[in-house]
Amino acid sequence: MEVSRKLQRGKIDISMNAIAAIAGNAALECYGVLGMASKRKIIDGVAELLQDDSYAKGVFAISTSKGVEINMYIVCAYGVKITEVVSEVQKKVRYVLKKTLDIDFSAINVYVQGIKNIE
Amino acid sequence: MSVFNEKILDGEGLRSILISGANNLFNHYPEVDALNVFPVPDGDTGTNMNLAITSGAKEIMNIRNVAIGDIGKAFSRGLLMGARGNSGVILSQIFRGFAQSIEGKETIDIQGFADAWTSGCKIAYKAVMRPVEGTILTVIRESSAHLASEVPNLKTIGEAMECLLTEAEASLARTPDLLPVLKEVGVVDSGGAGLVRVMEGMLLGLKGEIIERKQISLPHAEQEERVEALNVQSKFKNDEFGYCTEFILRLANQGLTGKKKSFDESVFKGFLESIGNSIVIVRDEELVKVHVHTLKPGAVFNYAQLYGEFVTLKVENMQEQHTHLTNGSIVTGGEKEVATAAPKETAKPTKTHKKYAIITVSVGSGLDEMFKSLNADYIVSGGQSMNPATEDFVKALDNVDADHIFILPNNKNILMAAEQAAQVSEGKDVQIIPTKTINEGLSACMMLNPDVDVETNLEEMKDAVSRVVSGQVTFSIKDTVIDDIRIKKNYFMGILGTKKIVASEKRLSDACFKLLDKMISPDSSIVTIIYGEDVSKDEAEKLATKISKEYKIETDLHEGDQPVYFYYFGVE
Repeated sequence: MEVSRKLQRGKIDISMNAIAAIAGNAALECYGVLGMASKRKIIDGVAELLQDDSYAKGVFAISTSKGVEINMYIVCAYGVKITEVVSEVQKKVRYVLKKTLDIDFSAINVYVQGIKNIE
Repeated sequence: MSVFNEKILDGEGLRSILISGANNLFNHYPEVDALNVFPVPDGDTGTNMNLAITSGAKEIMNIRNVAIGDIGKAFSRGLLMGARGNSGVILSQIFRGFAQSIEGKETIDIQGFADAWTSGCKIAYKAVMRPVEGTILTVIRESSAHLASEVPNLKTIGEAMECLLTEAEASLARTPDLLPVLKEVGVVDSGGAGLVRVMEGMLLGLKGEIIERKQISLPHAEQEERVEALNVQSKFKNDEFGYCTEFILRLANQGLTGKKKSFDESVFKGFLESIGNSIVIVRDEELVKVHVHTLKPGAVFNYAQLYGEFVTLKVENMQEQHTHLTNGSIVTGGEKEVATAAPKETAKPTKTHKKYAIITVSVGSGLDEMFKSLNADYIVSGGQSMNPATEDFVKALDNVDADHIFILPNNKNILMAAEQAAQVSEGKDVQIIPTKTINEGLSACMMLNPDVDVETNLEEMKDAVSRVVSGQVTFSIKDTVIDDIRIKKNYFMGILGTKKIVASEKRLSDACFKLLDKMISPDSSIVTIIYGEDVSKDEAEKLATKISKEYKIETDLHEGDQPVYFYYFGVE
């Protein structure tokens, strides 16, 4: 699965993994986000933070008829306003993806898999 | 009551300088908004930080003579509750750390003051995995570190604050070197600038000059830019609306805050639509009452103030369930407002019993008249972005006494409300004709024959609806590309049916003809033209003559007075 576009001089293909990686990196820069968590909580342990190199397990991009859909699983810091953090993540991810790839998105779903105490 | 030269800061002192800091940010937040290019250039940093800190200031406003630890706690709780946006959340974390450090203390000395800021910085950094430098985080880190290192040389709390602010300002000035996007645009970081404003207010507070809230006025160009930035975001936020915002504006050429623009309802509405929904605008010569659901009430107020001064204001967070918010600040207008405050009730109850009744949705006084002349019994005001609720239909059904009632929603978005109303109204035979446009509604209305049975009527009406090709012409509020049609801001758009944009032209008549090209087929016999409130009768008549000449077709011209849409066309 990939997003492809035909241009005058050839074709551009962007894989879903690449889109997920960009989304993941953008999310990690957001304030209040401590990291990515695995989608499969039970198998991989309770909302454990994914290590830097395996954070791809926590971000998925799928292509739907309406555009690309992003699902990401994050861990937030305790004591921050989660609703705001999540909406900022959506805003930032959408902005970064739009700016870098210029493709349309049907949804950016953010799942807060866990909260970590930072004190 | 200057505490600048004190060595100890107590609860009362902290309270007053925090309020001063919050007010200083309030007085400058539009400037901060204008700096906002990172992480997303949506021009809301100042607004967000202001909402956060104002909520904090509210918490401590009425607490007097308590320990400094309690003030810190209350302030930080208020900030957390009111935090909006990235920078608002970061600000709340800074003061959370600040509050933790002074918790349980009666007063603090210079060392304690420095420790509190350091703690604020630490907590703020902990909540982010990959801190981006060149932001508010950098400003708090560098300034608090500088203060900590200077403690031995400082003699008073005032000096400590001065030391913190000086370094914060220097740090802010360096942000463009750390974050390339700032340098590109040529600004300093907006969140950092907001923090500096807070510190500045605190320092002035220490000096005894407690900052008061000012009326803010925006320079024009800046306002324009911000509006632009807000538009970019609007599409994304289309279905979540945080604040129910209402106000009454007195239109004037000259107001408290300088010269005013002349009021153009369609432009005004266009702006509101870009940042909100559920818009209701009612106006007379000098007063405008506006109701809108938006995430940015501040932007709405700033924009509205360009046209006049407020008589009353009301904002409610619709997500917040606390009932105490709903008490108190209810709009209290003069009689004039009360009379215009219920736009959805252009009721025309029919008390006499009839066999058939029609309930229709209309927008604009001319259209109301047209429907009335076509035997509509009850008119619910509505239309684009002013969708009547189920409740309005239920009320309509209660007001109509007939064996069979037909509802014409005339808009796809209203269909559901009508269906729900039909379900809840027991004991009445309610039929819904799913009309999507005003023209379809008019055609259906025309078909009602009181002498035949329901089924025949229903069939006739539905049949009439299917024969109508509808189109509408309005203007665009932003540049965009939809279905390969390049749409320019303020150009006229021709819309076929309810959605498909088929024309975008600089001239209104061009847009009309391009649209009609798609609507009129060799079998068409008549074009119904309904012109809106922004079109003069002369103009409309000219257009009608031109249309009948061009397409050799009969035209039927009506004054609809509808807002936003210049023309509704129906081709049969």
